[in-house]
Amino acid sequence: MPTIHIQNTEIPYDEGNVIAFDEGLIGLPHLRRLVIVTQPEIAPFLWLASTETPASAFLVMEPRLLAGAYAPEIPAEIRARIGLRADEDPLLLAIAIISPEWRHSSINLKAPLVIAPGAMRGTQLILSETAYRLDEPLAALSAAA
Amino acid sequence: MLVLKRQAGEKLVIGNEVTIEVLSVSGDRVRLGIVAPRETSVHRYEIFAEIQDANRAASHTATAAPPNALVTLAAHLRSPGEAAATPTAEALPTSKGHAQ
Repeated sequence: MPTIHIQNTEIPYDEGNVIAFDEGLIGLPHLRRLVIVTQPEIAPFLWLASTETPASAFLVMEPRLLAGAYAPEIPAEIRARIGLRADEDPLLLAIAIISPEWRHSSINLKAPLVIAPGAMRGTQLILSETAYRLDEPLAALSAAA
Repeated sequence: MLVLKRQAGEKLVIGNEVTIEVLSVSGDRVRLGIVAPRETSVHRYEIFAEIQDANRAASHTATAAPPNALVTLAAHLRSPGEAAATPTAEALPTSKGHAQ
């Protein structure tokens, strides 16, 4: 099983959990191959780590765990770009920004990652018409959940 | 930087597949029509820059976060009720340089 280094820890990962981002992430075009790595002790967070660029990793979570009504519209061209079938629901992941004071940590609900679970291809979608912010405070979301 | 003068109704091409047309000019506002392949994203620069900054901060803060702080934060999210009763400022060690 291949492994990846996250925070100086070697963690095995499953090739089946690797997601191809053909354009990379926004502003980070070199991050094209990212793998989901789970660690039970940090759930609901998941690691999303580059298999190619060392020390490039994100903490992500499924936004609906804290924002149950979150249901961004996925434009047809985005669905086509990632190979999302008509009968398939996308996997949505929100990227977290971690603060030393946890109440100041946030997740980005304005630019979620949208992933086709079948094709395992994804892209970062910018929601232009949304009230959601790119720094939704986790404290407020978790208090309301 | 390449600088070109164009009038309303004129176009320019980037690479083989991206076409930008000046639809109209009114005062200091320009309306552009963009034709690009489906796999090419087009964004307003301000929003792109904002998300880029957020992505970079996210990668940095995730990999720099003390593992025990992450475990504590995750536990708070799993049990928000307990989080309210916990002295969180003490529970999470303060790392240097990346508050916010």
